Amino acid sequence: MSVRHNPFSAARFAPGALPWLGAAGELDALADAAFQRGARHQILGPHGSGKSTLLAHLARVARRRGLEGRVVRGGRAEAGAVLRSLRADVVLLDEGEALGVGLRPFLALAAFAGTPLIVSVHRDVGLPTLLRCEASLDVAASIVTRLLGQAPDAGIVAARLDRHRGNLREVLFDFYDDVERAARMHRPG
Amino acid sequence: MQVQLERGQLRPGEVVRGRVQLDAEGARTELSVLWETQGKGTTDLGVIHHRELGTGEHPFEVALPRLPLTYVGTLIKVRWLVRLRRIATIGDDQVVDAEFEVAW
Repeated sequence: MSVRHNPFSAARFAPGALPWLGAAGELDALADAAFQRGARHQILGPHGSGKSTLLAHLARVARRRGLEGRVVRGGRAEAGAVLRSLRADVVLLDEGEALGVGLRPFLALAAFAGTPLIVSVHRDVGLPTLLRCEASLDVAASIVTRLLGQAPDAGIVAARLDRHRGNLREVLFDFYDDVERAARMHRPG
Repeated sequence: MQVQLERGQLRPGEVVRGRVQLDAEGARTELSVLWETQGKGTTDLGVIHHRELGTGEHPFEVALPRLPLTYVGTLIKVRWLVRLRRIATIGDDQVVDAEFEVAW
């Protein structure tokens, strides 16, 4: 038997689904720096460290400021959509490395167009770093608490964060499995 | 902002009926009837009905397709929902879901 609603379903923590847990005013300060005409920045961090989440929140800040912030995914958007994104007020390119050899020309085009660009990458691509993302234990425990509705054992969160090398997405999927396992164990009969 | 469903269990192809109550003036509000997947993978979504609503009480009825059926599995779940979304000009949209089951 499975649970009807697993609080750790991917949709519950998809980019933008949870509030930004950084310091007060952090998002606006980042947006102030990144939304300048001609500015190009990278967000650095490993898988599951919050890069896409930050991009989603910056897109929301852009909307709040009356700007069109276009999020494009390097691995999924077709080439035309990536190029057309440069017409927006702000371009937020997720999974920058997934553009492969197209990344460098795209960065050059963005510079030529003057469109503010923020790109999330795992490795330094030579742009000024807007933020280095890292899933801390505090943030991980806070998100698990929010999804679970109660505080988890901090030791379990720490061990999982360590095992998955800071990939918070994988940590949350471990909790997903816990919920499903618990439901199977409590199956009537 | 409320959604009331006439019935919570329907068969494929039946009509989902209900009533929506909107009390906030001026806010743009959307009514959708949709299915969505939940699980460890990327969420998939199918919107079978969508319209904007003004303030007040609105009855609705929407014919359901024959698929997908509600499904509750370990790796994936399929949920049917009537969703009200109040579009926020500042901050997050407000969302109210009323779930129903589609099964034989």
